[in-house]
Amino acid sequence: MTEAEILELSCAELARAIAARRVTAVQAMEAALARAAAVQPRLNCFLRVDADAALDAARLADREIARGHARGPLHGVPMAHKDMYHRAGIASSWGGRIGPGRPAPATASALERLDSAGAIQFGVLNMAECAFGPTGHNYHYGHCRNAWDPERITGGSSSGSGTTVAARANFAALGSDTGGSIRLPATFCGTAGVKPTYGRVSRAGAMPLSYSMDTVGPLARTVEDCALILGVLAGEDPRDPTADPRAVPDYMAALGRPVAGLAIGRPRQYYYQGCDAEIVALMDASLEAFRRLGARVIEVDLPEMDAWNAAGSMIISAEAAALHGNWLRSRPQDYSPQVRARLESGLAVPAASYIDSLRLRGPALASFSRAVFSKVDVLHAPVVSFQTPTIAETDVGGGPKMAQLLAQVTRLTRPANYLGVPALSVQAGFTRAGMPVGMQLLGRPFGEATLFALGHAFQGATDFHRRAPKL
Amino acid sequence: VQGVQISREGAAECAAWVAGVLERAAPAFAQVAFEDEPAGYTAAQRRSAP
Repeated sequence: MTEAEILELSCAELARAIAARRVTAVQAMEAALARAAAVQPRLNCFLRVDADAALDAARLADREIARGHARGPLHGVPMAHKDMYHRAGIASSWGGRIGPGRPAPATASALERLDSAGAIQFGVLNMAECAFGPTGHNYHYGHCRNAWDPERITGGSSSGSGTTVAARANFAALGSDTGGSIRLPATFCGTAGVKPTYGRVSRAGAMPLSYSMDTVGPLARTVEDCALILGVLAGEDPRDPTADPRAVPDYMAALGRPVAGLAIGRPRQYYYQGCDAEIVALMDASLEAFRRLGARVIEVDLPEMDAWNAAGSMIISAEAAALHGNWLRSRPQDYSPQVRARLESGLAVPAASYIDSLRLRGPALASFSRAVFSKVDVLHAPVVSFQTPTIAETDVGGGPKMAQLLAQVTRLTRPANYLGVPALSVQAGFTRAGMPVGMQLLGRPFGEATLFALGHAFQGATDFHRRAPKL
Repeated sequence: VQGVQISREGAAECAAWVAGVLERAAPAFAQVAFEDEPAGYTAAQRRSAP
């Protein structure tokens, strides 16, 4: 198999090829490292590559395979992750100057689980400063660039995760999603990505932004890969009391579930308000593809989405301001103007409004579930309402246009964080400008398996995920 | 957070942002009555799980 052929494989395909000894882990790692070096000057997507250690780990993986031992379902698969997952003995950057500033005492649970499954980490990725930015701009390490057009944004905050996976320089990456930070780069860069149910994946050893909203999940080229990796990541963790103890379903088995008869909701309110006509057309085309697969499409009315979005915004801002309070006092100059301004906004959230925002979450989820999940199995919606802008167009820093722009970017993603429901972003097609566009499927709490079944069926009927950017 | 230095302009922008967000959230907040205080968010998650 050539280097180019290896790089076109998904995680699941590569893991099977390594297990069958059709490809070695060293060959896969050498291909990933070469591609990473080739795209870095154009995409500015890696913050660090650990080539020697990764090749050593790949050699060990090959010796294990030769002895008939595979560590798990990702044995030998190269991965690089958003630089906010702590690895013992290494200092994470958190995408800026603010951070722990010392080697981590322990490895993040998410990384430990990927290690146990056999994945090999070969680097860390660019990201929005402190994961507090939805566009992919980074004023410390340079802006991350979109593999489909380096003048356009990647989306954030998991900017490097989206663009390296799209560029075939990475087989899959951890992202994090507090207000859309997995789904936004997934849609702008043309990958799949899953924001799990709040509590589904442990956050131990991951940089916190908002305790009540943070989720950990993967970006990958296929829905099958998302299912495979979430199955590895999910589950109870004594290091994170918010990690839910319920059993983790067999997400890979769920991929084979029939989707005929499932009901998909198309929202009458909120999600299509002011939406770009090309995106609306791509959403409708994706719904038509689901109809052809036997699913039913039903229009549904939604409750107070805009109010819930605002409440979610208050929670994130207030919790982020509290988390960063000491650094805001002692090192305000070490933040970029945009992140500092956003954190300062959180200081102005009244305590009673923050508490109201939190105590409204339960009733909001109940209301949303009555309106949506009493009628359909999933809600289908665009991830963003506009086409991928350029980096220059969205370079607003901390100025007066910032709040409006950032609110517009996260408007369609944040409600899922507030409600805590899972959301899967899947490539739905391309605009006339050649940029990918994603749809999101929102499910019941802990209903990721249904999302994977639908997303996998869609990818079986389309080839958008197989198309690669020409870099 | 005590001790954070914010410029007069920055404080005005923060206040304007919060006023806007509170206005948008108002319809939902209006529905949260004292006696309706939820048993907990995770309880709502369990009730709505498949």
